Amino acid sequence: MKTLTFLSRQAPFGTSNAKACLDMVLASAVFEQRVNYIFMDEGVWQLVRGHEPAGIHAKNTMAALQALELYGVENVFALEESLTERNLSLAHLQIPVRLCTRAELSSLIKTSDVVTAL
Amino acid sequence: MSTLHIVSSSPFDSNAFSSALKTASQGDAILLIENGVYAAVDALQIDNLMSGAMPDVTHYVLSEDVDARALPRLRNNIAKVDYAGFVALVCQHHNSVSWN
Amino acid sequence: MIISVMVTGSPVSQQSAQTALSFCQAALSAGHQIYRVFFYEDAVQLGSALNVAPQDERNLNAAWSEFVKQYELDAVICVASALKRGILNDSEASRYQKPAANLAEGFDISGLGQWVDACLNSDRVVSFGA
Repeated sequence: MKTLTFLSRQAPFGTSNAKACLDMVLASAVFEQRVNYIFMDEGVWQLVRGHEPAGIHAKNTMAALQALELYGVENVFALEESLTERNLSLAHLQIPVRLCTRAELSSLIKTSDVVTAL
Repeated sequence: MSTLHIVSSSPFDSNAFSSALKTASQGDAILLIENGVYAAVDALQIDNLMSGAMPDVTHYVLSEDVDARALPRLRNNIAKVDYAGFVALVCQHHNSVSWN
Repeated sequence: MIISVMVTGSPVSQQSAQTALSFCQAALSAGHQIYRVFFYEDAVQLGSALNVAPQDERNLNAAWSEFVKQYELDAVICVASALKRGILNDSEASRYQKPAANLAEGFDISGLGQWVDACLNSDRVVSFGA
């Protein structure tokens, strides 16, 4: 088993990166690898509750994010610094995530076999 | 255990370089490629970003991308590598992160 | 070492697919083995055999296709990304009743599992573009 870490760094909807990262996470989980899914930089906007993308004809990925645990993806983090910079807190988020510091992020990267940032 | 951080966007345009700098830890390396090489110029804004950076991180720049862009003076303590050097850096570090 | 490469950037509007090609060539020159190249998101456009480059510009699709054929590399185009962008092999074209297939020689179409498999079987994985 390998540790595959994903850094989701882009906001939802404006580009396809957030969805592309989610699809890689789910594929890795299907292969029963150890997965770390880390939302940071603009990526933390993906977690905010209350998305209503019907008006822009975009798919709501929140259902998939809420199902992460069912897929065996238990290590879901948000970089605390990225939330703070955007005046966000855990109370704004739709799914349960663990906050991680920059030092914890660095150490999660260090202990990974492959890191993918999208 | 160390990581190669590969930065491919200009620091004047994206937070890729800044994120890589903040995340890199002791023994890691940062390699600037494509528009990321603009983070190698000797400029005040880059100095400001660098001021909080981990001291024990080596910075490299891909020479083919520098030559293509006619960069003015590069900042100190940055080493040029070619594609063979890029491959060697990938092998020397146990993983890599591509910051775009 | 055994190296796998993922390319995500558009070959038409971003530099990353060229960077990835130069990297792969340098890796082989240094005696390393390339386990797989996985094309994802806009990079799947590299798999089109129908692109036409202006005479004074490099045809990156042709360069990649020649490269993977020359070294018999495993070059996989992500199926989900490819179908959305109109890159089809014969079986996908007939499955979705499209008028033609356009997958260039040297490439295969398959799923994200191939990328996970590459992660499991490589010493190093490097991504280009996003």
